This record gives sequence, C-alpha cells and structure tokens, in this order.
Amino acid sequence: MSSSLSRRALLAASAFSVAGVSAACGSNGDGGASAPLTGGDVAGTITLWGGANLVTASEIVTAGFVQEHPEVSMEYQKYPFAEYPTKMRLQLSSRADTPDLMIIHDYFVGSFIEAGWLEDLSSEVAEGDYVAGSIGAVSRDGKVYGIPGQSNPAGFWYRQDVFDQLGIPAPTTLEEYTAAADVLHGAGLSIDALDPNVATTNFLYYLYQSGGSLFDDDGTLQLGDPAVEALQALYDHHRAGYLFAAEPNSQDYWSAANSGKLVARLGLSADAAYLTNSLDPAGAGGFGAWTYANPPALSSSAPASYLGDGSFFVINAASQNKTAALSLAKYLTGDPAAAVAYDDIDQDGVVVRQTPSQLESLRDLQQSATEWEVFGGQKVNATKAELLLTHEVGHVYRDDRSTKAEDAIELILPDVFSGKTTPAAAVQMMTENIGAL
Amino acid sequence: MATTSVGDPPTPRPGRAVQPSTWQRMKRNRHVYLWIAPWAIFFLVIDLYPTLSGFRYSLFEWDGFSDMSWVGLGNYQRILDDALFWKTTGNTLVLLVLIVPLRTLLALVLAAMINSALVKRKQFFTAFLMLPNLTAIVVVAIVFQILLTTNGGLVNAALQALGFDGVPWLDSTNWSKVSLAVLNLWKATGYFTLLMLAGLQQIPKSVYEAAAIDGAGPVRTFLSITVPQMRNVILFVVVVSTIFMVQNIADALVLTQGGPQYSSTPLMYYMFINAFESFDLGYAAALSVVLFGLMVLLSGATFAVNRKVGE
Amino acid sequence: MQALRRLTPAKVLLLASLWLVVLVSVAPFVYMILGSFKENYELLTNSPELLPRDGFGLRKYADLIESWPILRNMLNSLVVSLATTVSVTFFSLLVGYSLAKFDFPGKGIVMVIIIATLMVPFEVRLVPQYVLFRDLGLLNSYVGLVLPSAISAFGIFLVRQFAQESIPDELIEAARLEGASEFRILRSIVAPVMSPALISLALLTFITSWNDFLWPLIAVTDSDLFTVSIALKSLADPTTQVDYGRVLAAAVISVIPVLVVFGLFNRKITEAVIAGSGRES
Repeated sequence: MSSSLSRRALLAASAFSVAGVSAACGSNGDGGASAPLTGGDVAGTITLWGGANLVTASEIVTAGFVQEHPEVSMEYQKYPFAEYPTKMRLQLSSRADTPDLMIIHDYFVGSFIEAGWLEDLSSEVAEGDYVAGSIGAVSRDGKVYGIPGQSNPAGFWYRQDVFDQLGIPAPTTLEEYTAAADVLHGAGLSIDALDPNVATTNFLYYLYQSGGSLFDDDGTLQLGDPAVEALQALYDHHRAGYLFAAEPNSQDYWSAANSGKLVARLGLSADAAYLTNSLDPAGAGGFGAWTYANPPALSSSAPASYLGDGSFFVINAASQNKTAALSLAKYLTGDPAAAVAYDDIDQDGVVVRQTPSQLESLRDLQQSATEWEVFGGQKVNATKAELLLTHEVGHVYRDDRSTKAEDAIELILPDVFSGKTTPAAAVQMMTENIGAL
Repeated sequence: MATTSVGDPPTPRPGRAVQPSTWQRMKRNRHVYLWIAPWAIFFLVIDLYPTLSGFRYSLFEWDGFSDMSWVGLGNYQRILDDALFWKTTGNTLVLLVLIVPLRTLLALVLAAMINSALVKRKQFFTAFLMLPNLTAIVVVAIVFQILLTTNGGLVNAALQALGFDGVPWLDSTNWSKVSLAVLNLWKATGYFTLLMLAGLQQIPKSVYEAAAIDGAGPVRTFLSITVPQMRNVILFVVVVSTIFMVQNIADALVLTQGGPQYSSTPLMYYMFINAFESFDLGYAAALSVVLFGLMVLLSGATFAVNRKVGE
Repeated sequence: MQALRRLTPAKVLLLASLWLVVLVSVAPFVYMILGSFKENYELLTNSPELLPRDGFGLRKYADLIESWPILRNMLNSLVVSLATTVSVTFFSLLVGYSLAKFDFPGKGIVMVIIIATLMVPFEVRLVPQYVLFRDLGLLNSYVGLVLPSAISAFGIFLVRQFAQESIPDELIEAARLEGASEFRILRSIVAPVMSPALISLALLTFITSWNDFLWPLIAVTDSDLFTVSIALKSLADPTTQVDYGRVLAAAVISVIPVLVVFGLFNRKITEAVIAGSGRES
C-alpha cells in the first residue's frame, strides 16, 4: 500500500520538476512574426496597462481618439501603483502579446528595456520635441524606447488669502521661505508637512530644489555637501516647528488641510491636483483661495524647477497591434485636444490633471488650459507650461537601484529628526548603504 | 461507542478461526480506496510536494524566472545576519504577547458572563459573537484604517472630545503594533468566546453546586473551579490563537502596510515581501521554514507549559 | 416591576458589559454603511457628523460600479466559493464517512496524514504552490483559485466525528443486507442523516472561501478575475488618493452575502464552529 503511494509520489514529483524546468528555461527570443511599428492599420483592440490613476485618466482622454478611429476598441487593466510593475513583469516574461501599450514610470523602464520587452521607438521620438531631459530614462545605447507622458515639475502652492492677510509674499529663496514659515508658525499655521518616519520625499525635494541630486546622469552616486545642507535645512525647519506632523498627501494631511492648519506645500506639481478632490468646499481649507507658483530656489545654484518623475508610454515588443498602439500613444502625449482633455478631468476619484512633456502641446496649453476652481480659477497648467517652455529645469536620474536607495534613506532619516544623528553623519551612512547596492 | 465496522474480522465461531487477510480486507473495502483517492492525490500535489519543495527552494537562490543557483545554507546564514529578520520576528512575538493572553482572558470572561445564570437571553448575545469573525479581514482593516487615522479619524476625534490627546495609531513605530492588536482582538475574540462558552457548558453543574455549598463566592469559584476545568479549552484557544496570529498577513498588509519603518511587519509578511515583491524566492522559502520552526517551538512550549501546570 | 426587583448591581454590570460588547461588535458595520454615503472630508475630519451631508444618495455606489468591475468580482467570489463549498462538502463526506465506518488497511496512515495537514500550516508551501500553479498554467483561472482549498482536513474531521456519533451501524447493515451498494447507501441513507453537519460545514466553508485573501492575492493578476477581497485591497491602495466613500461602498457590497447567510443560518454556523474545535477528540 505505502509502496504504491510512494511510487505515485515519485512519478508526480518528477513530472512536476520537468514542467518546472522547461518553464524556467522559458522561451527566449522572438516568438513568431512580430507586427510592424508603422504602416499597419489603426484598428483592432488595443490593450493598455498601467497604474489605476493614470490609466483611468487616459481612458477618459482616449474617448477623443476612439472617435477619430472607430475601428479601434480599447481594453484597460488598472493596477494599484505598488503592484503594476510586478504584474507587468509576470505578464511580459511569458512573452504574451498583450498588453500592447503600457504606462510606466522611470523607476522600472530600465529593467524592462534590458529584458528586451519594449519596442524600439527611435524612429518616432525626436528628443528636441520634448522638454529637455524627459527622455533620458527611456534611452539606452542611443535608442529610445518610450514616449514621455506627463511632465511633473516641482512647484509651490499656497493659500493666497492667508499669505495676503499675514503680509507674506510667495517665497523665491530659502531665506524668504524660512521667513514665511516663521510668520505662519507664529499664527499657528504650517508651511508644509513632514512625517519623520516617511521623510524621503521631503528630503529629496529640498535636495533637488537646491541643485543637488542623488545620482548624476551617469548613475554615479552624488549626495555629498549639497545633501548635507539640504538635510540640515529640513532639520532646522522641523526643529523650529514649521512643519506639521503628517505625511504629505495622507489622510492625516488632508484632515489638517481641511481644518485650515496647512496653508502651503512645496512638492511635485502633480500633487496640486489632489486639492481638487480632497479639499472640502465647505470647510476651512481655503477652497478657491489657493495659488500655484514656481518653487523657491533653495540655494544659489538651484534650477528654476526640476522634473520629479516621469511616466512613459511604451509598446510591448511582442504586441500584434503596434501601429494602433503607437498612434494612440502619440495622441495621448502630443495631441492638443488630448492635453486639454487631461487638464479638464474633474471627476470623483480621478486626480490626474497632468501636464504634457511635448513642447508643441505645452505651447497650445498656454492658451487653452482649464481654470481650476480650487485655485480660484487660475489656469495652473498654463503656469506650468510657461515654466517648462521658458526655463531650464533639472531632472532626476532613476534606475533599478532607486527604490532600494529611497528605502535605505527612509530608514536612516528618523534618527536625524530625533536628534540622534547629525545630517552629515546621516548623509555619510546613506552614501555607504546606497553605494553597496 | 464501540462499533463494528465492515472489515472487522467476523466474530470467531467456536471451532473456526477465520482471520481475513489484509488483501481480503482491501478487497472488501474497494469502494473506500476509490473514495479517498482524490484526497490522496490532493495531498500529494497540494500538500506534500509543495511542502518538500519549500524546503528545497530554501537551499537555492532563485527569482522565479531564471535558473536556480545552489547556495546550500547560505540563505539561512543571510537570515541570521538580516536585521529586518530579527525585527520582524520580534514584531511577531510582541504581537503574540499583546494579543493572545488578552484575547484568552477576554474570551473566558465574556463566556463566563454569558453563561451566568443572571443572563436570560444567551442566544441573543451569542448571535453577535461570530459577526466580526465572519467578515473578511480586508473589510475590517479598511474600516479600522479610516477609524484610526491620526488626524481626523473618529477614534482620535472622540478621544480629543473627551479631553485626551490623540494617539498616532498608524504613524508611530510604537503604536502600529497596538493598532494591529486592536484589529485582531475585535475580529476574532467572539469566535474564541464561543469556544469557551461551549467548554463552560460542559462543566457539570454538580461541581458548582458543591462549591456553592462550601460557600465560595463568584470570583473564588471562577479561579479555583472554572479555570482548571477549562484547561483543555484554554489550551486549544491559546494554540489556535497563536497559529492564526503567526500566519496572519492581511491585517498588516491593509491596515499599516507594515509600517512605519517595518514596525508592524510580522515575519510572515516579511516573507511575503521577499517572495512576491522582491521575487527573492529562495530567501523567502528559507524564511518560511524558519517561520514554521518558530511555530512548532511556540506550540511545543505551550503544550509543555500546560503539562507543567497540570502537575 | 418584577424585572426591576431582580436588578442587582451585579446583574446591571453584567448586562451593561455584554451590551457594550454587542455595540462594539456592530459599530464598525454601522460606520461602514454610513461612510459609504460620505465624502473623504466628511469621514476624516476633526468635526465628524453622524449623517452624510448629502443624504443617502447612491452616487458612491454608482461611481464604484462605473469605474471598477465590482459586480464581476462578486460573481468571481460567488463561483469560487460555491465550487469550493461543493468540493469540500462532497470530499469531506466521502473521506469522513470512510474513516468513521470502515476499517481498511492504511486507515492509520491516512489518519496520521490528515492530522499532520491540520497541524502543518501553509506558509512553507505558499511559494512552491505558486510556482507549481504557474508552471501548470493555472494562475488567473477559476480552477487555480479553487484547487488549493478543494479538500479540507477540518471538514473531513467534522464529518467523521458526526458520522461516528450519529449514524447507527444497524442502519447501514440493514441496507447492506438488502443488497444496496456502498455508494447507494452513502447517497440515500447516510447523506440525509448527516445533512445538519453537512449544511453547517457548507456554510462555514462558503464564508471562509468568500473571505479568503492570501491565495487569490498571488494567484490572480487579471483584475477581471479578482475576488471581492482582492478587489477591496486594490481599491483601498494607500499609494493613491483613495475615495473612501467608494471603498466603503465596495466593502458594504462585499459584506452583504455574508450578512445574509449569517442572519439566516446563525445557529448552524455556530454549531459548526463549536463542533470543529474537536474538543477532546
């Protein structure tokens, strides 16, 4: 009895291990004939994958595209922001021919390019058509593998009514920022929010907005003195009580904003859109009294602003419908109607009023941007477009190390804010930990 | 209850010794083998093979896609050096200490209350005991996440209305485990109360009557009679509670996402992160083996304590 | 008046405590239901109000259904839970009855193995199970979702216990003497007698399967196949700006079947829970 069971077990075990090995060997190289990038029909089904927010926004804007191309039908797959890289990896590693089109962020593009999953779009993307520095993340060995979607420069938005009442101008330098923070603090208000346990983005904003960086364009770890100065400034602000104890964009943060305690924010401009949905129109949050401005220069060598992160439209190298996918991607990233549509999005639960990266679209947007109610009718995207067109903005280098690097920073920072470590020592630790990645 | 079942040797009649052979008993029970065959296949494919594979994977480094590379005990060495491993194991132990004793006590006390002669409508109260337990943990975690938000959550708003300071339930490395404990206590205490109640109702009335004659008050009765009589049920509750707790991940995943700073990441969640977010499958397998060992240790310790107390 | 005379301080304290427990058990549900009609800034505010500002309009539910395939998710949960329930009940009956009423060679080994599977938890086999199902192509499928839970040691034990205690051998012998096949006996005599236990087991299995979280989380990447628990997790993703009213609406929808089953079959579920605890066996 037991011997037949064990024999069965052996057979089963060997069968599964064979299956496992053959699956692990996988299918390397192209499977079958791949579709043409240009010259095919703009028809059939286009499958678009990405993070829920961006895909939902694109879904809204794609309505215009589908009107022009009635033979196209769309399929969407939306994932939580933290999950979509994994889901895409699982799908693409099996050489599936869907999705056709994907929206991905600069964090992951490198690994996707290296794995050979993305179509070469060099013939379709000209660097000069886009804001400087926006295609760095999707370029490899002189080839371009993605089209820049939204651009996300840093900005400073604040409650005009409060600033007027207290006689503070919008800050343009670090000194003015600190002075403003002090006045606000005296009135019981906060110029921004910081949670010491989740402080990486705050630190990186200060770093980039003062002209420093984490990695340089070759991927070499930078940090150094600019990082120490930035961290010192952040620590001083925290110590002086200028910063409300909450993580920006968290629910705690919005409760505080809605009770009128948070009256300004220095961050990536995509976050300004969140005010639209999260601010209570009937509350004390100053709905309609906010103003969007360009960020202060936190040091003398600071750029006018910098591009915080980028999202790209990429095409699956194994897709069977590349022409249609490319056409849609170009529409979403460059068509003026699309740019306006993105700006117009004002629906419950969709907080993406993004700015394009394509220069042509930006020029159009200066005229045709939407008025944002929560900003008292200001055409925020026009302000952003003007910045991107007339100034040189910095950009952030990202690769596969970036997520782990930012995790490492997050584990080191709390000790700085509790006073246990000095900024210099902390930056030293960061340099060691990230250098070891 | 003594039963005779098919397959037993027939009662030997005087002068005849009939012992059916194993083969004959198998033939007589042909249908049984057919009926348990699906279970047998299931066991091999779903239980045995993956469990053995799990031990095997822990000896390799593997990302699930490329080739596996042998590291022997390298993963285990890495575990010993991994600060996060020790942190998350500590988290698991702290959570156990926060949850299991309190839950056992609450369950017992609540059961005793319901069981007391003073309560007429027992059915009414027991009806509500299972309700939190039957709800998906995801649902519970979402609701608690909103309730426990530091600024603006209902719990802190209530505390502040009563004159206390708000508590950083989900934002503080100290309180995040407490929040998990609160969630778990709310969710499953009712289930264990039911078990305790069933146990209590099995204690013969005569024992209590004897105590009453001796003039023992309610607290004295509880401590000297109820608790010892309930030893087995209490043991069961503690062991099952421990096992549930160690295997739990949905609560941390949804309520705190393991934060802040991994302060509310139990070992099981850490294993999950390594397996399905970092795709470090060999290391995750090694972690799961250690987790299993931890559970065996904890269960064994509980049984040993029980035996000690019984002496 | 009679009741008042029997109110001692002890009784008051006792009843007040129990009522507090009931309140604490129910309050989050009430909060959840009310919250599904509120905006974020009504839910998370330093000056909370009980009732939703804009009344009980169903716009959060409408938005939810429009933006997320929640009804599809409910259907998936239903299919998976029903399939699991049928499978578990059926196989628990077969195996539990066999273990209760038949003495066959190998019975001891089977018992030991079943007890072992009860004691050995799943975490060691989680990753290999994922790899196995991936290699067999069973991810993103109903089969893949149901298979790992298709047979339950707990169910087998429940049936075995009930069968041992509640089915007289004479009943079975009598049917055998009439020439009925074993399967016929199982189907026409044993199963009906066992039905209370089987129903309790089915109810408990259904609810457990409905709430299952960990395996569906890794076994399914296609949002069309998400079960309701996983859909809820994705909806409540904290890395985005979450509309909590919408999430709570989804939570309410997902909880309705459980509440209905609980309301109708409360007693049976309680019995299954207690019976399954095994007590001295």
